[in-house]
Amino acid sequence: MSPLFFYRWSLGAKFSLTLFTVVCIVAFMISLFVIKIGEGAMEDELKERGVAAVNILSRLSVEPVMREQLWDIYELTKIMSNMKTLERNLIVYAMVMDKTGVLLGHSDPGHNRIGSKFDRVPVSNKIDRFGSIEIVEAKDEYGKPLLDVSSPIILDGKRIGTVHVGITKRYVQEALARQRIAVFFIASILAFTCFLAGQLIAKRMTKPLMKLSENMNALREGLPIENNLLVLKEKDEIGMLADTFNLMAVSLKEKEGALIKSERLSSLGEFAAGLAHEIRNPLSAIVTAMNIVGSKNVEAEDLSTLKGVVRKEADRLNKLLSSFLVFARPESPRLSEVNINEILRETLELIVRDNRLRGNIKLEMDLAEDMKKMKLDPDQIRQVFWNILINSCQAMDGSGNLKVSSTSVDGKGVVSITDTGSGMEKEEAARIFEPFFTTKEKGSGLGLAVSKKIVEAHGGKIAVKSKPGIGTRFSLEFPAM
Amino acid sequence: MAFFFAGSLIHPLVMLVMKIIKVLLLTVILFPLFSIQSFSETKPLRIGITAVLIEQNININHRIGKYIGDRLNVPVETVYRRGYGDIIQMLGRSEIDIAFICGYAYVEGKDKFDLELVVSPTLNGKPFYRSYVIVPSTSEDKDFFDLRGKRYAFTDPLSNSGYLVPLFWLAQKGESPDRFFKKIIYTRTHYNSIEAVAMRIVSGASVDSYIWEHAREIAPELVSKTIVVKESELFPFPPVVARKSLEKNIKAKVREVLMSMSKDPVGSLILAEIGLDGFIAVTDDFYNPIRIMGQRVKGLAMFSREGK
Repeated sequence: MSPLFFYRWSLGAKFSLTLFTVVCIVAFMISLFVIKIGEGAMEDELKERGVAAVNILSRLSVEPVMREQLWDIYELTKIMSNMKTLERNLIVYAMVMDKTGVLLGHSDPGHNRIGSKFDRVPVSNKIDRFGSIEIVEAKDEYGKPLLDVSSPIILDGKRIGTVHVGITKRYVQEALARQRIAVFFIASILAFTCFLAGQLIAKRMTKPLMKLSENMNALREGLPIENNLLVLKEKDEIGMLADTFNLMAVSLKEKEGALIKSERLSSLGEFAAGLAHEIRNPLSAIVTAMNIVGSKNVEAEDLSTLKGVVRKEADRLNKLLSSFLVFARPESPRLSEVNINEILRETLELIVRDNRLRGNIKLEMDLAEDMKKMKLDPDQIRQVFWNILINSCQAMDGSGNLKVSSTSVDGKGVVSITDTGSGMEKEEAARIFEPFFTTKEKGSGLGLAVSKKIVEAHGGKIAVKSKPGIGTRFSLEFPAM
Repeated sequence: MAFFFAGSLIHPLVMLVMKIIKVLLLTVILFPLFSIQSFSETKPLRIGITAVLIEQNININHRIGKYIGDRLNVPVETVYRRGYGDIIQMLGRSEIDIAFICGYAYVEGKDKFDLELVVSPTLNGKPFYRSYVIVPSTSEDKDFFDLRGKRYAFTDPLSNSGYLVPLFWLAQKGESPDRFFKKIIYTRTHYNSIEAVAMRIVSGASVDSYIWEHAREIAPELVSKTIVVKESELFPFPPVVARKSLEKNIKAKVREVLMSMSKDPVGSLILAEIGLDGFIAVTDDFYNPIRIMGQRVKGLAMFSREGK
């Protein structure tokens, strides 16, 4: 698992995992500590029991050992090994030996021959000594660990024998196993609770952050966020961040408003300048023609030429103004169910017929057969296609390839018109839909601006991509019904 | 008090009347105290028992004691001692009234304290039992005399079957237990002796046949670890005895109760539990076989000691 994997995790996951890990480690260490203490305490308890038992046995054994009363010794060892504490028999054996190590009595003499030298229980290296008492770790006949506690039998300061008591560790080990399970169980519950708590805290912390992030996105996309501002009661770091963000959003909105206003003013000025420029040329032509008509020696032939000029220029003015009107006060689309492919074909038909426009341009059509009908204003859309196609043909100047294709994506109509014309620089392409922006001598610069307006009025999108010397592609998208 | 001092001035007749009233009053006041004392003077019957017969016998002897007490309508006090020696001494000192003891202990007690027989139990209709010599069932010893140089268990130095009988056998061969055996231990009860053999603490032991047979029923696992290698002839059963000074009528009542025990439903139930038939009256000479054996052992022991 690369560290990057961890970086990608949410704050909540990181936080709770870290908390979980830390708690796990701490709980594990505490558990070990508790168990260790428990083990020590229980071991000590066992040793104390063993020491108490050998003390009793060694004292009671003095007389019987001295008098070699084997039956009394046997009874003592039997009583010793039958001493039960809480229904448990901790003492698994008790035995008495004389000073030479000969067995005098054993709680279970069947396995051990009374009167013979007794082989000591297996001895480990670890011998605890408490005064004259020795405690040795050993194993019983079934291999279970036990403590062999032994003490000398003293009479008049002389050792007359030895007593041994075997204390089983079985119950302690069982108790320890239970304790271990309990401790680990509690530790895991603790760790799990901390994990959940971590999740909860992290959720509380990240929720406002997520909301802030959403708001920032909305702000970036210019969507209204005024009604959706995050106001937190807690004035902690996140609360402060939210407040700061809100202040910033408000101030940004204000600045944006001012910016839009000034931009609008400047574009209005540009627009007016463009319009004035477009009107001035035909108007000055008309004025010049009228001046010539007004002079005395005008021949009839010239007069008719001049009339033609005036008419043509007035016509141009008229067209300009109607386009301008369409742009400035567009008619709302009269929607009807139409197939976009039909409109494309009709418009292309016009291009094909116009030899002047077409020249040697090769036409390629690739229209989607599954195109669905859409609610559009056919006249306005025809106008859009016409404007784009004219633009493309003019850019190719009579030779090149014009490809028109349409596809249907999720009910949406997507049209693309690609030419192999002169193309444009990026900056030009970016401004191509602005009114009065034109690269041609003849154009008014309103065609594509009007087209964009119409497409957007239909809820669609229009975009352009261009590379100088290679060509231009217009992409249009119309919404599904 | 001033009233009494003033008495010397009063007429002697009045004084006499007053004296009578005083005595009457005292009597009325003290009577209940006397009567309480007279109640508590119903002395409990003190019964001495040992566990020589069998561990569980303490309980059964308790029940026999209680049975006697219930039938005689007297409180019963059971006194437990570990050995017969203590019991016969207590009888001699009148510290107990009756006791369950062994035949040999009776014979010795008769000599020393003039103990009196009350009854003897019967088994299979007869008041006899034997002494068994038992060895571990895995032992290679097939006879009592194979046990030379080994550890041996006696029950009590005043037990017939658990001490006197084997001693007699040894004495007949001019042996003393100290020399014959490597080690002698006293287990105090026949049941302990069985256990000592079963646990191989000793190589052999002398036990009461009745106890061994009874233990075979109540502790078969333990008894199966022992086998009998020698049986003695029949001997009179351990009796119930009373101290000499015990009132005759109490002695008679106890005898009567015990002898009619087998006819009583509660009594026969207790008897069934101990595996006895009932009790019969016996005379002192009934225990002569034991008495003679005891005397011969003492004589032979003296002889062998002198012979040393």
